[in-house]
Amino acid sequence: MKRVLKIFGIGGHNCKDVVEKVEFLLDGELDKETEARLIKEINRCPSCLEHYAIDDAFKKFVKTKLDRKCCTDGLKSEILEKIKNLDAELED
Amino acid sequence: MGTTKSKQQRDSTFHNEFFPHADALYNFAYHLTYNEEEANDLVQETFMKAYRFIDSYQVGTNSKAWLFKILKNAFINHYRKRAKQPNKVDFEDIVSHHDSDSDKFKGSVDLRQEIFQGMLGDEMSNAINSIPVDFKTVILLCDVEGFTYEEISKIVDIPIGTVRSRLHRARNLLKEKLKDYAGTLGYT
Repeated sequence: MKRVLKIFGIGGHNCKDVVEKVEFLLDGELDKETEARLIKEINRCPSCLEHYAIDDAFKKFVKTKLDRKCCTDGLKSEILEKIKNLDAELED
Repeated sequence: MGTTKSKQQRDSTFHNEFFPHADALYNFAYHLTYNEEEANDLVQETFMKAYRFIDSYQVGTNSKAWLFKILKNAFINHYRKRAKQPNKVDFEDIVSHHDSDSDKFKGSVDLRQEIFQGMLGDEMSNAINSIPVDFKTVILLCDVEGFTYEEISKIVDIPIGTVRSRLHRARNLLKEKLKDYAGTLGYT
């Protein structure tokens, strides 16, 4: 369940408040209403928009540039063999 | 230890809900240890434990998060054993220090977007492997595996507020490392 975060108080735009919540927005942790309000705030401030663009690029960079390692076929076979043996043990 | 599930039920749960996560588990294990042999051992241990304790898994629930928690706990057990060796830095102390003011967000590291453009995967891997393991863990779980804060909270066994603040600090640390790399490579 996504957490509802109160992000705006009474008053105008506050860059610090917006910037603090950009990570939650990019991580998909805001409810729809808060998300829409935050996007509106980001779009009306060049500084917040730049911060958003950098954090967005950074998050994508981490996901795409980090070398994705896969389980080898040998390891998969080894696991299945061990599970087979464990299974026989559990049956006893 | 026995199990109340039949062999058919165990097979079905294992092949349909556990084994499809083998690659994701291996990727997580590899980036935690940065060592293929240790990653192999951790993934094997995870599947063996999951199978042995298959009764405590509720079919149709979040098997990926359940398996990641088992792997993370196995890693901590191995890691603690290693940390007891002399000359090993106790990263947990560093992380608990950083978590201590968990609700206060400090400013973000100034990292310009252009810096990313020339960077390679190797530089990213080196940077992520140079940050303390608890910080690396939350970045891998959130940015690489796409777990929610709530799932991360359960996997790592920390409150959601700590997940948020730890992620923020982890990203800032990683940005610092990338900025340093960018500096040495002449991107800045």
